[in-house]
Amino acid sequence: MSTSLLEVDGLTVGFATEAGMLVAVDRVSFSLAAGETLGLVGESGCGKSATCLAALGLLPPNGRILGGRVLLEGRDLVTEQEGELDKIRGGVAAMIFQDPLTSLNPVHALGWQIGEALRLHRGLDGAAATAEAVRLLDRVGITDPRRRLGEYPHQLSGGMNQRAMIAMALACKPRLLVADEPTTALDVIIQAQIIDLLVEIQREEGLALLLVTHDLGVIAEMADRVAVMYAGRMIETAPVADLFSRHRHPYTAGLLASLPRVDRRVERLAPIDGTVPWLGDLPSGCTFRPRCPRVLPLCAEMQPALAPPGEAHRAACHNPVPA
Amino acid sequence: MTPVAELTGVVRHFRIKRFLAPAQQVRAVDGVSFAVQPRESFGLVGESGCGKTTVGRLALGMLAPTSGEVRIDGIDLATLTPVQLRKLRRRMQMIYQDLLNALDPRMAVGEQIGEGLAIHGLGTPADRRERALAMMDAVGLSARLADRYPHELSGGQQQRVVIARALLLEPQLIVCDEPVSALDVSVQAQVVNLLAELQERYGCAYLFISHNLAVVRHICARIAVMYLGSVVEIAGRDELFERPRHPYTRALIAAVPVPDPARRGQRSLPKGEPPSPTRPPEGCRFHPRCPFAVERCRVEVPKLLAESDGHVVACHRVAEGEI
Repeated sequence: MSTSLLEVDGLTVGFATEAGMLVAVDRVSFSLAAGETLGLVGESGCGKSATCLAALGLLPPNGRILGGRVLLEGRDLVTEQEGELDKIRGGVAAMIFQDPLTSLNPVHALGWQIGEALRLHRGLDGAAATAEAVRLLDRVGITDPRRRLGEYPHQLSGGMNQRAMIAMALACKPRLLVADEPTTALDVIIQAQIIDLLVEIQREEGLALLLVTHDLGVIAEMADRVAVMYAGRMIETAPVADLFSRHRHPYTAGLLASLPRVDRRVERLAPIDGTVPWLGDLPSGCTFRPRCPRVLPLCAEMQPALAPPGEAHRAACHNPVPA
Repeated sequence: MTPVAELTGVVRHFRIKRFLAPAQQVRAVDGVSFAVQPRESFGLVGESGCGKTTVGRLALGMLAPTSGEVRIDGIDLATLTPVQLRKLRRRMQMIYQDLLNALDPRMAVGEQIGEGLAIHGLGTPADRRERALAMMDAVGLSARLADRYPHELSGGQQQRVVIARALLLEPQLIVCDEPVSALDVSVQAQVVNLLAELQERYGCAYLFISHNLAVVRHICARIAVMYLGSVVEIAGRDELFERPRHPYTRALIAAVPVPDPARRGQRSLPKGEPPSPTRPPEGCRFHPRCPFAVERCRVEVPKLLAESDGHVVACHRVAEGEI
């Protein structure tokens, strides 16, 4: 177990809403080692983003960790004080988001923003900070980096800003990078460029990458292992090749059958019936039960656990898709 | 057969004026020609800023072209008075991505669906309600929802309301601008199937605008690819996706992440990002990013030429048989 950089164990997250405390993440566990990419995939509201935000202690004010542990290099972030948390996070973990403009500061030039991260986390100043900022911008594929240091986010394209945000994340030399829908807002060719860049940087730096996305295509390109989430629970986890070719959970099967394909003709899409349940009114037993084509009477009575325990490929289903 | 929509050499320029900056001319659409046949589903794909949404608005007469001709059902829109144009609009409808802006938050959905009939002075109120309810049934919305308001509906249900409202006027042409992009995959598949079924049932033509190549391959029989205001290629669906000819189309298709880990990383991408439409390159607009560009591409704008099999391409190197 000591080889894991990040160890999430039974993480439960709630959000205080007008309708009371809603559980957005329900006993989610996973681990992530250096050099490895874990993809968290699911539809809106499944809890994939909340899992990451909670793991890094970045929940919004109405969010609370209700249970579980998050061990980053062996230290439990859930019980750590805020000041300590900043140090651990800044030195070990970095996060990039879907919309770079929410992370970049509009009133500061790129050089200043990257310089700030270098000053705070690595104590670099002056010429050393400038040289390192130029190296980082060059590393993420920004041409003419020295000139770009003086430019502001609004002067750059979406793809350039996304590269700048990656450069900022790398400035603190993280060992864990959390990427929440890092390519979703981008056009397809730029998306592919950013995917290639992230994969390359991850390999070179031996980063642990926690990738959150709704896009199974991006998962197939980047992830080593995948965890599928539905209504706050992890319902299947597997090495990437197994997930696509030997998935066991009917929800995973449904997601894949819903996808139109660019690489082949699909006669008719097979959508999943119904819609995702509201977190305030989840069905008993398996939360996917009302939409499931393989439902059994047992599914309403007992919530299935991820099985078989200890295996790399586990699914939480009483009646899994046959191999 | 008269095409339901026919664009010939359509140009649309915009002037943008920023505070304290000289006015700039944006060549949003620069010489686009294509025809949508009755009952056909015609796709228009390209990245942000390529002009595809502007083409949709030009096709509906919501914008007047700077030059060139737009015909609906054989009628040149430039020859119509505003009153005549409004009458013709009954035969053309639009479905948008942004559902909450497309719907009136203070009108019950049943009434909204029938509103088009009221605007065009068709039927009695009782008659309109009956037809609205029948259309709700056709798009898979329960009649119980007729007295609900848009915010009480899920994204998939809202999109069905927008579709029902468009179809009720029995249009010959529906311009669909990113109609499923805001939806989660399982719901997206439901709406994609619905659009295909409704087309068979009502016999309308679609001008389907999207950046999502997989969805376009699934829905559209013929597809035009746009880059920086121009059409670079038009072909039938399988022809385009299995034998793309224009270097831009090839790059675009290759860049889409495919949900199959076995195909990981097999692609080469063009460098950089599309240039600004305020300063498009001379010659072929793709030449600065094109791996096959030669001197001729830098100076001479390639024309859209039909090959013997009907596949239409604007590329000097393809026309010369070099690629």
